[in-house]
Amino acid sequence: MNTDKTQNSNASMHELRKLLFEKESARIDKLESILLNQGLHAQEVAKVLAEAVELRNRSDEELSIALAPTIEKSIQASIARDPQALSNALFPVMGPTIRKSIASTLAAMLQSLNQTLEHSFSKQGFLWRIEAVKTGKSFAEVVLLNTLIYRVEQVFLIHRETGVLLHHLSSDPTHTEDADVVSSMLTAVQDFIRDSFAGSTDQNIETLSMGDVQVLIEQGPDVVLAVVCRGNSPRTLHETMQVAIEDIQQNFVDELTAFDGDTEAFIATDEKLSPLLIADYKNKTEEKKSPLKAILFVALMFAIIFSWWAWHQIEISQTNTQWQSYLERLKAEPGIIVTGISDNDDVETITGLRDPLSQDPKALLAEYQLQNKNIHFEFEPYHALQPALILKRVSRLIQPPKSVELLLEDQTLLIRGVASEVWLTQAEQAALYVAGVESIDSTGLSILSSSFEQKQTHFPIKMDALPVKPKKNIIRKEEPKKKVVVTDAVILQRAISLLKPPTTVQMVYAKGILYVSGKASASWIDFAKHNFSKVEGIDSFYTSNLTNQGTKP
Amino acid sequence: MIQKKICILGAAGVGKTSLTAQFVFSKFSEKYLSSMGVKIDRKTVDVDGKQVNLMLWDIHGEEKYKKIPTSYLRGASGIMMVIDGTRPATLEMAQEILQRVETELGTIPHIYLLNKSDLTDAWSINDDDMQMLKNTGNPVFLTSAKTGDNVEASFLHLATALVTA
Ligand SMILES: Nc1nc2c(ncn2[C@@H]2O[C@H](COP(=O)(O)OP(=O)(O)OP(=O)(O)O)[C@@H](O)[C@H]2O)c(=O)[nH]1
Ligand SMILES: [Mg+2]
Repeated sequence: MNTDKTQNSNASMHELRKLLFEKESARIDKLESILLNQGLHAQEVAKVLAEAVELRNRSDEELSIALAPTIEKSIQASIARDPQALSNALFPVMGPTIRKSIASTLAAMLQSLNQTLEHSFSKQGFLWRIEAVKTGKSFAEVVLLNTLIYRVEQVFLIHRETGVLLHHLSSDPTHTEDADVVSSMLTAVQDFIRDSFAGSTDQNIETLSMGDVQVLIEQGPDVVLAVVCRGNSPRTLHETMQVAIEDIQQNFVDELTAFDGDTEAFIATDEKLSPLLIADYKNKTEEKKSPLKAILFVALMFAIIFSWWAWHQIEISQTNTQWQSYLERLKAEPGIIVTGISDNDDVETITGLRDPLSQDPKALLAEYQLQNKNIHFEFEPYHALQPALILKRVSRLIQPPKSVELLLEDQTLLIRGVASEVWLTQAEQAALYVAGVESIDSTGLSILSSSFEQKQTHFPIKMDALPVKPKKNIIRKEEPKKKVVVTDAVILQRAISLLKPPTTVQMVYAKGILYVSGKASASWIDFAKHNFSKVEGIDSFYTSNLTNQGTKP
Repeated sequence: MIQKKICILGAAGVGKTSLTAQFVFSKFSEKYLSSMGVKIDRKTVDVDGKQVNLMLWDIHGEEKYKKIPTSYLRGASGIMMVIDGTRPATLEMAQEILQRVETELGTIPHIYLLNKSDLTDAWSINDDDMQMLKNTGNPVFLTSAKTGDNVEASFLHLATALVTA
């Protein structure tokens, strides 16, 4: 059978494989188990890990870059878990670093304070202060410049042949911008001057100067050293520079001979050049002699601060007493009732009642120098019954002419002076509307004899415009007790001035009745009949003794 | 940082100052202010991702009685030789200057700028002259300080040549 055959050959094939590859198959099984077993992997990797890391680090930075995030995370995790552990680990490093930084900051501060103090109170110091204002520099800077004997502000290390700036130092780190152009320019100027004036090429410029700034130049075979110095540079500076050049020439032989424009290698000259950034100031030794000045200064500062504080306190208490007397005044003011004062975030709130005719509390502030105080008023309007305000209200209502004086005595309104009949008539009626006026006494008033036409003119008091009119009407109804105290003579007088009787007529008044006798025209009689009631106190008009002139034939 | 000193040379009025101003400040002025001595400017360019600081020495133009002092050229890494395309005489002057530099300082890498290419009507450098310049093996650029044409390209070309050399 065909299938038998295949089965047979399969079996023999298997047999053959076994014979031929038994060893190999065992090895493959072993290798497979190694490859698939994670635990074994770790063991294998552990054997070579350290070496692998070292090898990789030697060739490039990739490993550090790859590990950075992991390390950052684990540090974060460690701090989150227990900050103490990391701070303990860092403590030995941090302590000295912080101490050192604080010490150097303090030293620098003390140095400049000393210098500034030293010169703050002298006449010289005063002049410098003016100079500072004029030049726009800070006082400390002016002091520094004036006490300066010299200061090296910049150091240029220049490649002699190309004029390329190899390294640059500055006492003021903000002044480094165009150092490379300056450096090129310096060589160009050197070349130019040498070409134009000097005979041989060995001669070099040693100093350029401008004002109190000097540029000192020293030449080496491959480098030029230039320093910018303010003030009188010491003689020794040239020597110091020369020493630095020799040092650099010796230590950078290879870099200089192979120079192709790359200045990287010359950052290392920093160490040789930084000692050139020196400065010297006047009065250094004197400073120690007189701590007195500093003490005086500090004492003075304290005195100034204290007096400022004391003055401020006085000012505060002054404001307080002003405020108290303002409140007293406000409480005493007629027509103002203070019900509460509260202080909230520097805003004083005054609540209460206020008659619209009373003194304006805001206007009063100025009297107590309190204009700038933050005050909020919350007054509800009301009608005050103090005599002063009743009078005010009355006078607003009846608008007395200048010739009239109003007084209030025990709820009686006294009207004095001179006024017209018309005004008085209406004033009397209106005044009784005002709460607090119970009666009116106008005996002290002389009546002006007014013309007939005047009666027609509009009454100055606009009754319609009276405030809260309905209320007034009610009061009017229930005020029979209110009585105007007017003598008979006055009533008669008023009747005469209002009715303007012709000379042919005589009038007598008694107990509410006006008796008229004599002769008069029909029109006058008619007029009188219609108008007599306008005079307060006249209830009836008695004319039986009056004859009509016109009826006479 | 790599620094390279580059000198801009040529006859008077060919546009040396204008080319430098165009390259460094992107500015151009029709006004002609004849240079005296040397003016140095700096421009940092990027060559293959590397920062290169070019110190540009704009030196006064060569005239019969006002030769360019070779001391200014000491340490120069490269020269931009500027020729005014409207004045053939400035081409001869360029050859003369290069000759003198060669004898006094040795060969310095240089490129030719045929400047004022915007003035096509007045252009008077013919093809033979052009070919002659190209035959020296040094790059030749047609530039205009006025329009800025090829200015940046020529400076960058020289910078690249100096750094990769
Ligand atoms: N139309 C045009 N005018 C130019 C161009 N380049 C320069 N000029 C003009 O040419 C004149 C001289 O230019 P400069 O750049 O001062 O020439 P220079 O070579 O520096 O001259 P010197 O310093 O005297 O040697 C100026 O008026 C420029 O405006 C240009 O490409 N096209
Ligand atoms: Mg010029």
